[in-house]
Amino acid sequence: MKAANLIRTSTFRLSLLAMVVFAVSAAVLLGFIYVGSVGLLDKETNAAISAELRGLAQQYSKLSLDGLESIIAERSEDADARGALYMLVDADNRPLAGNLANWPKPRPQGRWLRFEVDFPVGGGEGSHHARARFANLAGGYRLLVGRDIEERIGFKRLITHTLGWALLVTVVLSLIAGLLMSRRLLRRVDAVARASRNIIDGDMGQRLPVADTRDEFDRLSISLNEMLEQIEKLTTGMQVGVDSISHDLRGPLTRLRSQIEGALSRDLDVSVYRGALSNALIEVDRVLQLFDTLVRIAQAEAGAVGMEVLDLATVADEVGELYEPVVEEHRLHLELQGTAGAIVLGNRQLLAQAIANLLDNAVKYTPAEGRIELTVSASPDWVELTVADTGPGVAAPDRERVLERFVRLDTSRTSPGSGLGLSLVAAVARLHHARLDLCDNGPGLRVRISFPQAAALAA
Amino acid sequence: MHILILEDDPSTAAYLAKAFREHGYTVDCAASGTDGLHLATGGSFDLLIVDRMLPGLDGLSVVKAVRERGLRMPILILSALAQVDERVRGLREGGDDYLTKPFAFSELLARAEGLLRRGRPEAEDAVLKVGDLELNRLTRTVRRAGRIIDLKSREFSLLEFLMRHAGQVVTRTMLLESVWDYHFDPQTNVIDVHISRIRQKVDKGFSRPLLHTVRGSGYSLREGR
Repeated sequence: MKAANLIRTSTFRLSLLAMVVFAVSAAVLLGFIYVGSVGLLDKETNAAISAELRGLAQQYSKLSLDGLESIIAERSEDADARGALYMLVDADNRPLAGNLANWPKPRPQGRWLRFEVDFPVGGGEGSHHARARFANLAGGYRLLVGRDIEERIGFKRLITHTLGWALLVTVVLSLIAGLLMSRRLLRRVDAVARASRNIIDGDMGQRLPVADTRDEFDRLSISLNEMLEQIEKLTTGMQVGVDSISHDLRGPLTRLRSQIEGALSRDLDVSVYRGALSNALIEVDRVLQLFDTLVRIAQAEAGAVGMEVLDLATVADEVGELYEPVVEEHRLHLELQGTAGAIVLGNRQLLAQAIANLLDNAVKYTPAEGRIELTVSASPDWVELTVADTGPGVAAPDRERVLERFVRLDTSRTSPGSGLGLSLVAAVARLHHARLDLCDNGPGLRVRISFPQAAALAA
Repeated sequence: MHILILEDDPSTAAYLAKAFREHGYTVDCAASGTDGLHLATGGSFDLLIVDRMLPGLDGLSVVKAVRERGLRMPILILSALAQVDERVRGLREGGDDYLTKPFAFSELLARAEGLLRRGRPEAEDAVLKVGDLELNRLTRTVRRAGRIIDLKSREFSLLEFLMRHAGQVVTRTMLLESVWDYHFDPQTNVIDVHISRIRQKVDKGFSRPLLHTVRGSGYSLREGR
């Protein structure tokens, strides 16, 4: 996992964005606090200095220099305790009163001064910051009033530091959280990507990892795994289908080829050519029919067929009647039983073909003098179609298998048929959300297809 | 009889044109839907054979456009799409018959002839006659040489279809489609057995058979050989 990858993740970018937003809002908040506290204190100090200076200047104009000097001396007595600074100088800068020893060094800018002074004044425990304002009085005297603002500066520094640290912690924490989240996310993405890569490389059995936390990643992985399951099933089915098709088409195609080849290799009578061509035609028709059936199965399995509300008993009746002569020709007895109200939602053509395939099988496998029953019955929930014969039946273990494509229990394959008849029936049943059961008819086979009743739809 | 074939595969088109010409038809071909529609509206054709999938304008759109221009000649749609619903769509858009590829030419010919004959007034006559066989559609009775032949309802429909197409070849799938309205190939010879029953009733005891089997294609009801 490269650092560059980590930084490129969307999570990291999101956490970076969140960090910036958070840092800006923290800065704005702390800025408000700063202005609200430090700024306010500064303003108060300035107001106090200005007020006192104004008051003293008035005193001077009222009481003259001596009065002012005595007031300043009086105020200077407890000035150190209050953090106040006073100084009165004459035109030659000689101090007349106040607790400051010298006129502060920095040249004044306007009427405000900032300077450092030993505090307590003269005593000198350390240098303190001070802020002062002066006024020029009549007679060349200058009066200065100031305050010790060391405490305020300490407070300001504290707030600035707090602000700085808070910002730093915010940034660092968001960076760490972003990196951790991105790494966790990237790990899962990488795991999914690895699994996908394996699947692309042909390992269809591979599944996406599920962390069992039931988070959105798990939900996505679970859905994708279900999809992969379905795809694998379909591909396997298709593979089996392709194998079976090539197997079952190869037979007739090979026969076809050898017949044509045999006919061409010798000079023969026209009637022999005719015979060979008619056989070839029969062979080709068989291949085409096989092909057609496969297409129909695929179609039914894909579910791309139109459905209508219809009476299954009518369809069964029609197909039964279509087969009646064939059944009688095989010296079998066909019993048709239908009930009214066997309404299903279905495709008439495919249903008819499924019934025809079942009757085909019954006719093919039931020995002479046997019985074939074609029954349609309806209950409030189900419509059941049953085709039962008195043939050899299908042994229980084989019943699942005969529904697969190209499976023929008659392994010698002497009787005609593609092995697709029941597969089509199964596909049609699935398409109609019907249940297909093969059971024992004692003796014989009983095929039952249970469709969901659709009488409510017909009303 | 003038047939227009709309087929984009040149070898299929050439084969069909040759085969129809051998049967005495005049044939024009078009390889795209737009050309085909142009030809169909310009000329006077008795039958259109339209491939479902065509470059330019697809088969169904051609059929629709032809019908919208008020042309009423029969149209047979050829298609490699074997889907059950495709047939319905083809007929709904104005096609008269629908045949899935691959098909036997005999099947196509039989259907083309059926379509060309259709719409003629005698096909709707109350009484159909072939030789000494007579079928009355109103009284639903069949007589041969004056003698009443007893037929079941479905046998009557089969015979009626054969008589309406007398002299033509009728295929098994055509019978299954028109008499039962089912469009699949039954594995067993169900239609053959029905026909042999009718043959028992219609031809047995008469020196000249009317119901003939056409090898590899189907059946034909006609006088003489």
